Amino acid sequence: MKVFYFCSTGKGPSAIAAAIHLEMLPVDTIPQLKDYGQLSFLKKFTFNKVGEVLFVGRDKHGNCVYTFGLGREKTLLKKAVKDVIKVNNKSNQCILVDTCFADNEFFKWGQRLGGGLGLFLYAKGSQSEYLKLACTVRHTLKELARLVQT
Amino acid sequence: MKIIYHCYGGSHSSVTAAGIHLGLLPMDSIPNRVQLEAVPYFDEQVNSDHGNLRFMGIDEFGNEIYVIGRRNAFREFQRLVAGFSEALEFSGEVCLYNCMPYVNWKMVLGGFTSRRLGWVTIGRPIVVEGVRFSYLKIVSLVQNVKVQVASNRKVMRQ
Repeated sequence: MKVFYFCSTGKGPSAIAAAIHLEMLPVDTIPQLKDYGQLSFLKKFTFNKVGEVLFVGRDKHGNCVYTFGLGREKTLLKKAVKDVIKVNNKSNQCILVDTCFADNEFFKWGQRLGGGLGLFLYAKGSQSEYLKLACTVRHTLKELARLVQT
Repeated sequence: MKIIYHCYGGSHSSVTAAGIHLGLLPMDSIPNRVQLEAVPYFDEQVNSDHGNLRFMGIDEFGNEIYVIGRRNAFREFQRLVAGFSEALEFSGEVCLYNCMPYVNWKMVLGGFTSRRLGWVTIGRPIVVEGVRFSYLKIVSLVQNVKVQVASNRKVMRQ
């Protein structure tokens, strides 16, 4: 099974959700600033463009975890992606998880500025929405377990 | 194989290209208004339909033909399809063809008037005139697509 987390850039809340999924960040407590600095995959994603599907890693069950960004045309591209997956009969092989609800200005400026200040803002943006993102990941993991059973 | 023709609204240039591809419109002459209006989805899609993949039919080689309106998110749509086709292993199964280079000012004006403002009586004749003006260019796009798809098929067979 493949899990795709998405937000507006693919490097904001979706990347945090992917990190929680892959147990790089805790699921029950809000991480500290230094914990975000240890997310090595974020550095690799710096120059990726909106729309690119980014592979983050495999979870302990062997499921591949990806992130992607939808840019400004979120609703339109979400429909388009779902339809492209459907016509290729791949709907049963993947889960799309919306994390756009957690997009905020701190995330946006954190990604734009980069460096120490960027990381600080990024962490601030993540911390304010962290528990909601962790909850979304928990739901996704439950859904994954249910799908694997059936 | 799935062939997707895309443009801004998925109502005019992409639908015309899909119509030509499927033989619903002639390749050797410019169709009249009645012929164009007979193509499914021609000047029908509205804002809320953007992003929906519309199935138009199956061509003589068994390829499925679709149209989609993707507004200005061309690059993002292209990257997403490429990324998903790689991640979900359907690379080479989906081909995207951009119809925007064949859109002229009459199609923009007529499309806006008919689709956005809802003034079909005024907008449709303008858009039809625009499609007729660019028609032979769209025919050449479809011919290129058919040659490309046929050569891909040949390579795959070998």
